Amino acid sequence: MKRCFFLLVVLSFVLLMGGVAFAQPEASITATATVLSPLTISGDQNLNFGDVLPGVNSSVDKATDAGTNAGKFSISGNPSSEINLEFTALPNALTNGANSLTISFSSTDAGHTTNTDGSSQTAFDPSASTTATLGTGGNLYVFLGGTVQPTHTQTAGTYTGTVTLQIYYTGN
Amino acid sequence: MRGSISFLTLFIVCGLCPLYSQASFAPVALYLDNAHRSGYILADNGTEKAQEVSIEFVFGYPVSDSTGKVTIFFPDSLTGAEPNAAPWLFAYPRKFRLEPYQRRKIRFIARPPQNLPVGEYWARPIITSTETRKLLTGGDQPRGIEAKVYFQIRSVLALSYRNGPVSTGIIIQGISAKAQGDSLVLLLDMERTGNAAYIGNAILRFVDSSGSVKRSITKQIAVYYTLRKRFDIDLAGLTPGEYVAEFELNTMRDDSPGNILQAAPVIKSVALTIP
Repeated sequence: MKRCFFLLVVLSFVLLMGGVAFAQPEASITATATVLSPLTISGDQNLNFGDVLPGVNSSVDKATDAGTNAGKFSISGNPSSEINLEFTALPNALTNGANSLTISFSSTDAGHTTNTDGSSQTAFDPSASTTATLGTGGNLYVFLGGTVQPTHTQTAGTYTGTVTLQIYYTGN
Repeated sequence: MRGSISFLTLFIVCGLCPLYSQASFAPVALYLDNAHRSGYILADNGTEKAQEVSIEFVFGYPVSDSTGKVTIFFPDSLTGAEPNAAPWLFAYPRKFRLEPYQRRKIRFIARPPQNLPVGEYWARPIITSTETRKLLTGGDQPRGIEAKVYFQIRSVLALSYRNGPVSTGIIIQGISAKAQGDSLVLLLDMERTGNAAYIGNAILRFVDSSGSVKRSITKQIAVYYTLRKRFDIDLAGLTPGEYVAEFELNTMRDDSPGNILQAAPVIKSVALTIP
């Protein structure tokens, strides 16, 4: 009996409180959010020639090596927007201290595609600017290959260099 | 509050990106004026590696070549007559280290000269981001030859500063067409009026003799002075006959709400025959 009385008291309290809550005047706040349109660029994969032999040229292909050693950039932004891509100041040598290793880029060593696996690339000359259109999902992938030419007397070591990719919306 | 939610929105947007993302910047276009001389861009490092970030300002604006390819023209030398805002724009901080998964504001402040003539002034903020790397020491050097190329990224954004009353408009100077393979290439030549850039859309509707729209293409346009824009129409499936190519230019852009100068729509058509 006591237990029934206790449950009745609790139930009454809940209903009373609920009623009080329902009877409160409505109040509201306004939440505003400005969706900013970002430009996201990532260097996903460095251009990596790995171990090379003295006197033996070594090349990385932008398409066949797309998933392994080719340089890869991912770009995301406004879907279907036009962007300009330009590799500024391509190096002609990689360095290791005072030593240098010749590197070259052909006129078809760069490519862009809306496929992340690097398929169906549109080739372009990495020493010239090009325009491309972001896919309907807002993505574009840029791949870069190249060739290093170690001499017969090339000093052992890790040779590195930097490639700069400049990107902008053309506003078109 | 509004800024906080904007920041949150960017965070959510960036959170959808893969974790190896290097750097995000938003918004990509910034508008200042003599009543609002500062603004900011959010930088986000979505990677587990720190980034060295630096900002510079240069003068530049979109131009097009004879084929309709659009690039940003960065003049090698300036005469002083250009609407160049770069010399009096400042970024805070100008150089910084963006730690892994860190987000921060880059504040832009305009300090224009006194008696600046009415008009719109332009600059391109260039944000350079480089992944920090550990320098190889003697003990790290391999016995063989190893070759690796690292990347640096330069994101070129847009900034406009409006001083006093500004307006924009556009004139279609001409429309030319030529067949190219299985496509019809239409070149639209435009010239901006007023004292500010025309930011908008160009809509092409390719209409047959019965009035039916057979093709429709919408492209964004940014006309700072003049611009040639290219439209490719796939002719596959179009029967020979008379057509009308109708171009509509408007300023109804949703990528920068509240900042796009509005102008009345402009429509112009040309008749074409597909043999």
